[in-house]
Amino acid sequence: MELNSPGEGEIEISVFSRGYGESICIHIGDSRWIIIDSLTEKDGTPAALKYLNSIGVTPDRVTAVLLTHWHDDHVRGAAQIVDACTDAVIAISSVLRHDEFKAFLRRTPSAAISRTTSGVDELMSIIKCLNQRGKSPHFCMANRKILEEFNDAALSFEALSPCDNDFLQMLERIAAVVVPDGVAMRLPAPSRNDISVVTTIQVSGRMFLFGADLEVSKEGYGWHALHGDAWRKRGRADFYKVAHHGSVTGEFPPIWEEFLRPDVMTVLTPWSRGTKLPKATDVQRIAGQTRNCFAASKVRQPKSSFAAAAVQRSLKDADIQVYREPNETGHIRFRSHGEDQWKVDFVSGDSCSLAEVFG
Amino acid sequence: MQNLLQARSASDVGFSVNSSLKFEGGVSIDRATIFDKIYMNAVNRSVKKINELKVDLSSGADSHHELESDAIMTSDDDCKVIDIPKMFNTTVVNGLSINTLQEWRGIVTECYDGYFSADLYDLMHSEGDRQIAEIPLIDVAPSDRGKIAPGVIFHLLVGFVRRPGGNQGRETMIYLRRHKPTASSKTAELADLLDELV
Repeated sequence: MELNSPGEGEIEISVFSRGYGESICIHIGDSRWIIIDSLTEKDGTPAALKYLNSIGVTPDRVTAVLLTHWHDDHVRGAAQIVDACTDAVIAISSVLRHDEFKAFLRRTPSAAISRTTSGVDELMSIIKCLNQRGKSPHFCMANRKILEEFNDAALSFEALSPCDNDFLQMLERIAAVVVPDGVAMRLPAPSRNDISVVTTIQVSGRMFLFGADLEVSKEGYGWHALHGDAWRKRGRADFYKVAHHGSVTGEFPPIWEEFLRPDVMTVLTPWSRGTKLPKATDVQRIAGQTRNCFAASKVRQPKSSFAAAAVQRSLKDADIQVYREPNETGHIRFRSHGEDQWKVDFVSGDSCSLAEVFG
Repeated sequence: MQNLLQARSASDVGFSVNSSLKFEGGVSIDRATIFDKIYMNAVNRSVKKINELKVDLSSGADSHHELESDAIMTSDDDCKVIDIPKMFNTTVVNGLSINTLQEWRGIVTECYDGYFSADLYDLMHSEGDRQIAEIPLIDVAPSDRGKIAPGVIFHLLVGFVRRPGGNQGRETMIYLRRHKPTASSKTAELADLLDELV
């Protein structure tokens, strides 16, 4: 497919997935872009940068970079993006500035092993880069604007989570992390997504919702808090990046009833590891809410990795599956000139409609 | 040594590709199947293992690698016959000596009911991509199962085990990286960098 850049006033939302990881590029008009999260291509290049380069957009046109949370599937290659996008606001989790988190880092020795400490290395590179620039990152909390411009397009890029409760709960969880004695490990990531940053972009009177990996928790936390506090009377979005890979743990009925327009344009990024997401019931549930549902890649079944026959037999005997990540990144592109006027392109990889997500 | 580096197939170094190698205990391996995989990476592996050994020693790992393949690196320039068993790297895990066919370093990414998933990094092939594994917990030694958690680093080996009685058998082994915490860990350095933020 021939790639070209969107028109000046055209909205574009490009979503990338490899069955593990997601990244989103949003054209907010006037040749300016926002990047949310990062995944890398097989050659280690961030998919977002590679795409922007392929359509002739230079990194200085990136206005903001948001890393929604510190899970590997959302930050691989993020340091390269931060390094390249010298003019962008870098938005990261507010947990990083808290003394509790720093104390956690100081008491959690991470094994100094190359190629296996990407989380720490990625974060260190970003912080070093920002320190050299003398720029502070934007620390995300609910109801805090990342960008706001009062011009004709009236741009607003706003975080709707995490709320104070989620944040305090996260700090408690950090304090409770126990590193197994004497075992080498990399910096452990929180197992839940409580501090994942949900955002809206409002531009030219339209609104798009990006659900990150936020999960449903309880009253006053997660999506409940967003519903009761942050959303208020914002109106309805006409694009939704489905939360947490379409999992039922990210499903909060008021999202569909109060936050989104009927038959909203939706996309999810599958999780092809372990328990795999979405499940057939998730697809059915989402398809019941909107006719316009898509996936940036398919739920991929593991393919046996290269190894000598003797090794393969041993792994099979031990019931161990070893497989490679897919070579090609799924890329789906949404372009729009106005409300209800979306054009969907399956640009590369196995991006598809949600009905085809299982193959 | 020169001939060894220039050789590109089994016949280049003087043995038939259709024969099998027999080991103690009656185990036989088809040379043609394993030769290219083992031989073509032998030199690189040796160098990597030396570096690996340095890292393990500095971090207090409880396994050690006997660099039998050093014999290849220092052999006579005119030598054309390779002692195949010496092309294996030998690792000793929990008192068992294992001639390694394949070895990965893994990081546990998620834990599920009865199994865990992990990112694997190939230690035998210099340009190996990251691979993904799903491993039953039962494959981990009972004493280590409770330690499996996201972030934990382990090694996954497939190879031929030499048992104390002399028998050999092909086995898959998992052992956890032991770690001696150091004062100047990367995480502490990161905390310092965060302190410096404007």
